[in-house]
Amino acid sequence: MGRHYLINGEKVPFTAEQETARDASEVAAAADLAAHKYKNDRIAGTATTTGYPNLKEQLDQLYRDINAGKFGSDAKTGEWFVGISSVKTAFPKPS
Amino acid sequence: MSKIRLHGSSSGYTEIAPVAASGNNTVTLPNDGTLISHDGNGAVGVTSITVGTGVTAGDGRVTATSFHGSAASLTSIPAANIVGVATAGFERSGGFGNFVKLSEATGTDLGGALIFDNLDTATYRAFKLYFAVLPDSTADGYYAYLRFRTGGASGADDTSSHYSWMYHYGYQNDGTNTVARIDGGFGGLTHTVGGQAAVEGMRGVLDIVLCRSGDSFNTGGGGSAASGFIAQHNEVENWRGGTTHILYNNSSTVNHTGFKIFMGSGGSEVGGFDNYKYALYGVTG
Repeated sequence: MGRHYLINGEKVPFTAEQETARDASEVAAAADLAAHKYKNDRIAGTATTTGYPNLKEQLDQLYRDINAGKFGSDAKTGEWFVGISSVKTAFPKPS
Repeated sequence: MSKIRLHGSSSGYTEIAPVAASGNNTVTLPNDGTLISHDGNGAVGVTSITVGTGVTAGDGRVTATSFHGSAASLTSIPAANIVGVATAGFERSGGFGNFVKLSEATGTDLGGALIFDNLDTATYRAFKLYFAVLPDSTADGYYAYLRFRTGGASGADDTSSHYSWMYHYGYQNDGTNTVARIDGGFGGLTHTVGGQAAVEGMRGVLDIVLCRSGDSFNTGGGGSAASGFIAQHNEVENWRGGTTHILYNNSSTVNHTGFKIFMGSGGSEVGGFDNYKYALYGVTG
């Protein structure tokens, strides 16, 4: 069965030319989606693999690594680490 | 022919006469001594009529306990005088007031893109679409787009590179993502949408303003626009809820007459929708 539009609630069958154009469009769409799918997968994951954590969690991971010395001692003196540390000190996590 | 002639006390007379072929009739005079009345100005007439026990006519009004039959001639009734509560049968095609329902539908096989053409932009300043759609198997996992249309009843997509758009959504857990483009050939509504009926699809509300002849500002920021809210699950059931804004940003005036919601990638259309329900309203002005 051929494709159709739904215009103002009425089904309007494709012409032969429109069918041909849509075939080409769907090939192009599939190629474009394939080229970008990895971005979507990285953002939101797939059915079997988790994507990136949210930005807050990513930054917290980075903070913990710096705090653990994995970026060297100088990283602990940087503006970002010192600023974040001062906030954590001001609002300590309950023990 | 015989007559009864009654002479006035000072002059003149009044005659009572039958028609030429009068049949055999009896005129019974009332017993209250009044046959013809007149008002205070001397005009002869009847000041009121009582029919049965429920209807009176007089003093410029008709009083009755109920009315029956066609009311086709009851026109020009001031709206302020129509009061009360209609319990049934009181309706107007499209509804009342400035927010008018133009169309609605629901089904399980829309079959293609959702298109509205030949919209009455002279009557309606804006349109509001409440919708829920499910991409078909071909469009499963593609992006949701919008294009404005021109040409009235024989509408066609406006694919020119004048769409500036962004959508922003949140996803579990506490994630956010923003996608924005300028001068593309389509407007992005939201990110990839899944096509499983039980757990995916998208629902949204869009406010759409189409440029029309007579507007003094139909270019740049005055171009046709669509904005709204869309909630969805993507192709792996991940939840997303967000907003969308699409502006047709052209230095030349283009008056649009419709719009289309479709699935695709990179502006290329793919598949269509299966399950759907929508209601399109017009806002007069």
